[in-house]
Amino acid sequence: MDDLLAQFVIEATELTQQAAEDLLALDQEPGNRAKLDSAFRAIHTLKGSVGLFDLAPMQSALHAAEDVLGVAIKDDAELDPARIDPMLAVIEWIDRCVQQLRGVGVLPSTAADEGANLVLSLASGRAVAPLPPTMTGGAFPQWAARLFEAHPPSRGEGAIALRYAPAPECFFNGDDPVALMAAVPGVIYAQVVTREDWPAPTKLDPFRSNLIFEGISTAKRADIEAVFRLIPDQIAIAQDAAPAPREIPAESGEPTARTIRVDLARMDDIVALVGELVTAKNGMSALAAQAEALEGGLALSRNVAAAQQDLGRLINQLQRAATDVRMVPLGGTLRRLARLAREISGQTGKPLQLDVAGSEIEADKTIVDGLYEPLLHIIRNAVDHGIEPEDERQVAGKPAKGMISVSARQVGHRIELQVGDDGRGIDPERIRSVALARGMISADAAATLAEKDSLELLFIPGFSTSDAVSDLSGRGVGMDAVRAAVHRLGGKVAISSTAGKGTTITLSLPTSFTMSRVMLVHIAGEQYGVPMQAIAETVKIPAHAIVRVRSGEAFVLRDRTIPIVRLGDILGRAAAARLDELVLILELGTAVVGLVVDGVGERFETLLRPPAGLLKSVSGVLGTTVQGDGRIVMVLDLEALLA
Amino acid sequence: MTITVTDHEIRLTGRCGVDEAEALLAALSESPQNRVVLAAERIHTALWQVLVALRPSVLGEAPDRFSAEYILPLIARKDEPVVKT
Repeated sequence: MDDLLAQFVIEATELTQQAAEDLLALDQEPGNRAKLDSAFRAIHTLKGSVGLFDLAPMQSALHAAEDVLGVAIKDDAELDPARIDPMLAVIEWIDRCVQQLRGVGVLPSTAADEGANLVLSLASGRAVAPLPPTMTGGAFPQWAARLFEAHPPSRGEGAIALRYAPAPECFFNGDDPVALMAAVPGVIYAQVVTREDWPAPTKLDPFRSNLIFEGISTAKRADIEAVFRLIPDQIAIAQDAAPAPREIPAESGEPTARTIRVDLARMDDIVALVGELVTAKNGMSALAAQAEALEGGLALSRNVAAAQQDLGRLINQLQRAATDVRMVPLGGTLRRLARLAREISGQTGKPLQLDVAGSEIEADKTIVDGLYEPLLHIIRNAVDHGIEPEDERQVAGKPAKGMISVSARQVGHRIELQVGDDGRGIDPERIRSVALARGMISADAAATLAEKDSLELLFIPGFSTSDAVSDLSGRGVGMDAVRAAVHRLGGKVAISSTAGKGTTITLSLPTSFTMSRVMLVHIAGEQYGVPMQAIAETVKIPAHAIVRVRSGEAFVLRDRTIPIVRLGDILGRAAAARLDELVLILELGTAVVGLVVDGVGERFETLLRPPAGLLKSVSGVLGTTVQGDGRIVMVLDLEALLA
Repeated sequence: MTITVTDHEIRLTGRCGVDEAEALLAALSESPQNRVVLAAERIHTALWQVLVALRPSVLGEAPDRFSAEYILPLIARKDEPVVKT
């Protein structure tokens, strides 16, 4: 089975379970708003996942179910108890479909009718008659059973039945069904039937496809699917499971035995405990010092130090193991993009080619999962605004197919993801004029804004240059949403573009949340942590080099004017005048800011814990870390503080 | 032209694309007794459909194994079941 489908089956089983439990709870307690919300979420998520595949009957049934719940939520009303049975029938049916998908990989041919009945019953508030027996027990679709009956495959052949019902208007899409069938490898039997009886010659429409092809092939399923990859909605494939009935449980049983799904919260607990262990170990330094101070305590001190080292090594291993558990390859997210690109290509009529590289690179699961949303927006934007229509591309001498490449690579402790398209690029002039028209920048600023900074305007919330609201990206999700999502993951976004050649968006992300490099800074006798990733360099400059510019301050570093912010001012502890100032040069997005501090201290790697309790409501704090002596250091969220 | 109509026959040659289906239908409707000679490298489904629907007598060879084995019998059949076993 396709990896993605396999993952879907696991998720869908959990979601149908959740939805069923919630609906049953609602049956007992119709006013339970939390259960109503939870059921809605489960069904909504399920609908979203179903949308990744060509499972239209499931999609429409879930859509109808979601509507019923959505109306109740919107009106803040109780769910009509008469709706619960039909809803449960939908969920049960979805569950059976999912099990069928796990077994055979396709929905039964009766699914469309069953789904339509369920939608009707939801509308009328009456449950439908029990499902026909074909749906139960993961049986074969009837047409496949008929085929195998007409032409029983020899033992061990592992034959595949296929049914190709070309859409009546398929000739207009450039399809040639007979040619496609001729391209199917390993056909050992086929029959061709008509969709409708042939009309009289005078009534015959020669451009309407009226043939249906059924056949049995001994080729690999993937090879057959490859022939029909552009028209998955018109093809049904069923594997003959009969020759080796024991193979299926063995195949699906083994991987589940080797993996176990664990709540991420439990993993986080372990990672947090490892962090505390690091702190406890660091506390032994003080112990060693105490021992050394004792009369004749040198030997004891050495032993303590040696024990600390051993402990340190083990903790490092434990830490790596705990972090590793959360590491998953990017492939999981990147593979979903291929389907997305195909869907977008269909919606826009722009042929697309998506190239993906670096799927094997690993990062924390939260980061890998969190990447899908920003990548989706980026690709939608690329197709909507970047890739030109086919005729325009031909004029420009580009290949007809729009090219989008997604490549990931590991750079030190970070991953760099580049999404490039070969479209028309971004016209900085147009960006400036739109920003001006929307009152986002002044006429002065528009006239002097550098090209690079013009592109930055794209990240301002609400910015969109699309004249017409499109189906895809015109939903108010712009580049600002991309930046926000990537920032939440601890990453940065940069954009570059060449007119006529294309646009490249670069995401730089940490591979894991758990380890961060932090530098201590001193300010007014207190210590704060600053994430090293933001610090480009540290410079000492004479105080008079800083000059007032309007309401702010700035200084010149290697011919570049850098605005200055004094950390003391932000924290409400202004420092006295000094001869020299110590400035951290910070790179935040594409902006460069100098941060004046009193002094810098040690640099260390630490497990950064998200702020909890009271600190949660304090903005500008990225997290806390505990030092060896037990003191808690707040690590500053510079982007929030300087925004 | 990939469809050539003479007094007695309609000849398919070269690559017969979907747009030729109408010409073939017209030629066959005009003279249903004419036989069709298959000598093409490619025959689009739309043309096969015209042949299956009108069932003229057919000579020559189909361009690929699939159409030879599974489509030609549909044209030749005279009220006999198509199912091959």
